This record gives sequence, structure tokens and C-alpha cells, in this order.
Amino acid sequence: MTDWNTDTALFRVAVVVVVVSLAGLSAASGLDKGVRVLSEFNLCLSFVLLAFVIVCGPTVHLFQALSENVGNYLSGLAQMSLRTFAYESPQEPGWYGQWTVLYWAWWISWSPFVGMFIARISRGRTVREFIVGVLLVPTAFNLLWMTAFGNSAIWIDTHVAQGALAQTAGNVDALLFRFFEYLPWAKAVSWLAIVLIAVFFVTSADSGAYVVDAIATRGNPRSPVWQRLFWAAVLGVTAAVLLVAGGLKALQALTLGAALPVAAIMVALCWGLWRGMQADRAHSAQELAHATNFWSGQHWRKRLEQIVHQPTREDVLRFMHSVVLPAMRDVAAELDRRGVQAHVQDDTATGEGEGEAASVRLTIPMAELRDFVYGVRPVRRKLPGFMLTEVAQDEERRYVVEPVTFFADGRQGYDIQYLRGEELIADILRHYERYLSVSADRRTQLLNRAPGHTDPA
Amino acid sequence: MPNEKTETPEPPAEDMVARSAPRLTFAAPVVVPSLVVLGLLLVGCGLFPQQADRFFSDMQAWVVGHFDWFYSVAVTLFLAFLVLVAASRFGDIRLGPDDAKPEFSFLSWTAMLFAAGMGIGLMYFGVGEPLQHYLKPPTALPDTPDAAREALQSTFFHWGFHAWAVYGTMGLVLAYFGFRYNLPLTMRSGLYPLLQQRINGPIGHTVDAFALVGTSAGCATTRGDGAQPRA
Repeated sequence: MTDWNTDTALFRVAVVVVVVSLAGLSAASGLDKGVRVLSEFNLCLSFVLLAFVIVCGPTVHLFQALSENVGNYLSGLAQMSLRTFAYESPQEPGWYGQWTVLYWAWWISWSPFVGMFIARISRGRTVREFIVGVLLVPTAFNLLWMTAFGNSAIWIDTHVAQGALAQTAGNVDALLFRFFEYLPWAKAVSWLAIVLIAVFFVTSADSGAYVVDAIATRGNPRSPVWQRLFWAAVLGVTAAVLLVAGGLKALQALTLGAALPVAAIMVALCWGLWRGMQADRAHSAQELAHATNFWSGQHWRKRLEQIVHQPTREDVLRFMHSVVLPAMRDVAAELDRRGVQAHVQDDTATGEGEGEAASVRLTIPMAELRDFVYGVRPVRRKLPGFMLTEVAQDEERRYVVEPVTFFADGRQGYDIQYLRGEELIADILRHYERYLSVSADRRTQLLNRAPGHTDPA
Repeated sequence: MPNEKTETPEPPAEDMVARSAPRLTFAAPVVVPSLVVLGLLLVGCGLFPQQADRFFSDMQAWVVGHFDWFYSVAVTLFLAFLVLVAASRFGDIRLGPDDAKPEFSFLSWTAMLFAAGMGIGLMYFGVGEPLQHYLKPPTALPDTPDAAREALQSTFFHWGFHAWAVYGTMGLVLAYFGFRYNLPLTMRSGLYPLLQQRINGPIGHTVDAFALVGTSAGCATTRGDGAQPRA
């Protein structure tokens, strides 16, 4: 569409130099300003072009086609996703390898670049926001775009050009401008497209320099401007040398071939990400210990001592005898005085090892419902080697033992080793209060009347 | 580097590292091998374009011939993985500390996503791809309404969720380990759950150098492509 002799090496190198210089300028102004201003400018421009094609093309047909295309796409999604033409070759031999596989290789080979860039601009969003945004927004735009341009082109080819447009189909560069010739104001629109393409080049080059610099500096956020300019120049030189000497195709083929190991690495990355997020969830799901609810600043030295000390089975049994049992007996006596039957059971003497066998429990029987049980038993918890502070390194001391509560309804118990007598009583009363509320609630009757988890078998 | 803007024929790799001035933040174990490999590729492809083209094209053809199924499976897996993560409780995790706020508005954010990812291809293939499928469809008869339907369906497929699932997977891995685990924002950080401290060793350098060369080659070839005449 231009009269320039665009075939000369000089022209092509000049294009590269201009693009690189603009990219450098944009890069030098920092990500916020350069890329953002250019991106927003281009987004507006592409919306203008899109609107133009929709309005001046076969408008109604485009909307009809959009609806149908989306339907066809969604309904064929699973089948197309995994289609490998294993049973029969496509009608056009090599279609699968030349289109689908090549696209996938292409996206994968670009993914370190685009991925780094979209990561960089997404700090502070949630994982869900990120995924939904990245999957839906660009896809929606692409589908709209492809419908507007693709369906217009096919429609023009069959209804207006009588197949003339399709003859240029092999050359995608020329085809775009041939396509515009069938729309009004072809010259102006072509220039608009050229500006759009040029800015896309500049932003890609700019982001490219930005991303390469980030990799080269191992993610250093405060890297000097000249480094980004250096990478813009490296990219420019690479492109220019290959343009003049040839070999672009070779490098492109190499990039696409290299997508295979990247794809394999990405599968490993998915697994790693899952593991990383599991660790993350486990970390943030850890709540403050239940027993610390009662803490004020009192007795803090004693508590600190308890936190630092890694208790043994003997420590726990001593705690159960000196704190838990007296507290339970106090509660039982008070209940008896008020006419509520309650009894305390001490199995520590008879029980061997851990678990319920060596437990103490306060039981308040209730007719027709499962009893109220507040029990405490020693539970062993394994500690990783580096957490062991105390001298003994024998097998026995790979564990700490904690007094852990258990209840008739099978709710999760918790460590109460830091509680003092009155605090333990408060804890028992809170659970008893809850037990009474639940017992009075008709909705829970079905469960309340089932045998308790602590009933003797 | 006062003259790094001028078009010197070769990136001065050794020169760069020798001047480890305080204003230099390059990680030498990544940059030096990358520039050497890039320089060798440039010399190889520049001096022997035909041979290099044949060699790498054969390699690419071999990969496509033997691993086409792997590409389909892997890319579909990435899409399924992202959907699963977004639907799970992991979706609530913030990319950064819990109180981090997004840096860009939603509109700027999406605008930046496009421009970096797909801008140029969209321009060329918006008209080109549907029309080419229309003339040479995978299963329908060429030049028929069926062919048109399949053409757009195939184009949607290639430019839809799958493309962005690939970018999104890589982006999520980088952003997650970069901002949540506070690791450097490079590809090696994604391997942290597998390699742990070894990401700081030779394996990590290799992965990053690979990403650097790949990104440079990808950018340069696309730009080169775009600078080809179109009249």
C-alpha cells in the first residue's frame, strides 16, 4: 500500500532501529509511564478499529456469527482440546501440526516473557482474580476480534469479492490491507492499522527489554535504566543482523523446538505451585492456640517457661494430677451441691501409653441424650529434629507430649497445657454451656441422641 | 556503557561483566552464558542461514512429529489446572502479603495484558487465520458454510482460553513465588518446591539463562518478522 521500496535491507534495519529507539525511550521512562501509556493508547486504537470493522462490515451477520461461534467453541472445547487426529489425518494433511501444535509451541515459547510481564503487573491481586482476569478478559476480546475480522473477511470473500480476497490468503501481511480495500476509507484505515502494529511492536520490544533485564538481574527491582536500554539494543541488534544476513527463520524454528522442554518444565511448575500453595494454606490456617484465649499479662514468665519447655509424658501426667483433676473435682462438687449429677474418672493409673487409656474425664450424664464429657489425655506429637531444644536425643525424645482435650461429640481437641486451675474451670464451663444450648436445640436432636464417641464400647 | 544505544554488531559480553561498577545489577552466572549462547546463535544463523534453517527446522519437525500429543495434553492440563486452582480455596491467596493492594487499576491491567501478549498476532491473523482455515479446513469441505463454521471454531480454539492458560500458568507461578514467597521474580523461583536452596546454584542459573535466551530470541524473531515488507 506504500510506494516505498520495502524490500531493501536498509529499510528493514531502519524499521528495527526506529522501533528499538522508541522502545528504549519508553523503557527509560519506566514501566508505569512508558508501557502503560502506550498500552492504553493502543487499546483505544484497537477498539476504534474493531468498531469500524463491525459497523462497516456485515454488522448483523457478525453478531449472529459471534453468538454461534461462541456456542461452537464452548461445545467443542473438550473434544478440540485433546484432539490429536490419531484415527484419521485431517482432511488438510499437516493441519494439526501446522496450526494447533505450532500455536501451542508458540504460546509456550513466549510464556516466560508474557508470564513474567503479567506477573510483574499483578502484585496484590488474589490468585482467583489473576486467573479469572487472565483467562477471561483477553479471551473475550480475542473472540470478538476474530469474529469481526474473520467473519467479515469470509463474508466479503463470498458475497462481495467472489473469491478474490481468498487468493491472497497465503500472505497474511498483505491480506489485512487487501481486506481493508473492501471497506470504506481504506487508505485511512490502513494507516491506522500500521500505527497500531507499530505501537504493538514498540510495547512488545519495551516489555521484552524489561523482562530480559528482570531475568538478567535475578528480579532486582532497582536496576539502572541503561541496562534496559542495553537489552533493547541487544534485541534490536539480533533482529537487525538476522534480517540482513538471513537466519530469522532458523532462530524462529529453534525457539519453537525449544518449547518442548519449556512445556515439560511448566508441568513441573504446576506441581510445585500446588505444593507451594498447600504449604501456604497450612501456614495461614494455623490459628492462635485455643488455650491462649484466657491469657492476660499475668503469670507471663511462667507461661514463657512453659512455651520454651518441651514437655514429657511425666510432665503431662503431673499436670493432669495437679491441675486438671482438682479442677474437675471442684466443678463436679459444685454441680452436686446444685443437684446435678456429675463424676470424675481418673484412668491415669491403669492406662498404659497414650490416648484415652491414660485419660481423666468429667462426665455429666443426661437422660435420653449423650452425656457431657470433658476429658484430657496425653497425646504424643512428633517434632522435626531442628526443633528439639533439650539435650536428650534418644528415640523417646523425638516427641513432645501434650495434654489434649476430647469430647463426647467427637469435636477436635486442643492442647491445654498452659491453663491454670480457674482457667481450666472456665473452659469446662464454656463447653458445658455450649452442651446445654445444643441439647435444647431441636435441630440437633438427631445427632445428640446417638451414642457418644467416648462411651465405653 | 555510554554508547549502548548505537548499533554495535555484537553484544560486548566480556566487556560488560568486566565493568562490575556499583551501577551494575546483572547476575553474571546468568548473563554471561546467555550472551555467549545468543552471540553464537547469531553468528551461526547469520553466517549459515540456510544450514541453520534446515537444521533447526528439521529439529522442530521432529519435535512436532513425535510430541504433538504432548503439547495438546500439556496445554489442556494447564487450563484445567488454572480452573481448579481458581475454584479451590487457593484462589483466595493474595499475590503478595495479605494486605497488598494492586498497583494498577483493572482497566490498565487488562490493557497491559493484551499489548504484551498478543497484539501483533491479532492484527495479522484476525483476517488471515479464519480465511486460511476456510480454504483448507481440517474436517469440513473447503469453501462451504461448514468450512466457515469450523474455521471460526478453530481460530477461537487457538486464540482462546488455551493460549491464556499457558501465559497464565507461567505468570501465576512467577507472581506467586515472587510476591508470596518473596523469591526473585524469575523462572527458577518456580522450581523452589522441587529444588529448594539449589535454585541458587547451577540448575537455577541454567533455567534462567534458558529463559533469557528464549525470550530474547522470541522477541527478536517476532520483531524481525514484523519488519518484513508488507505492501
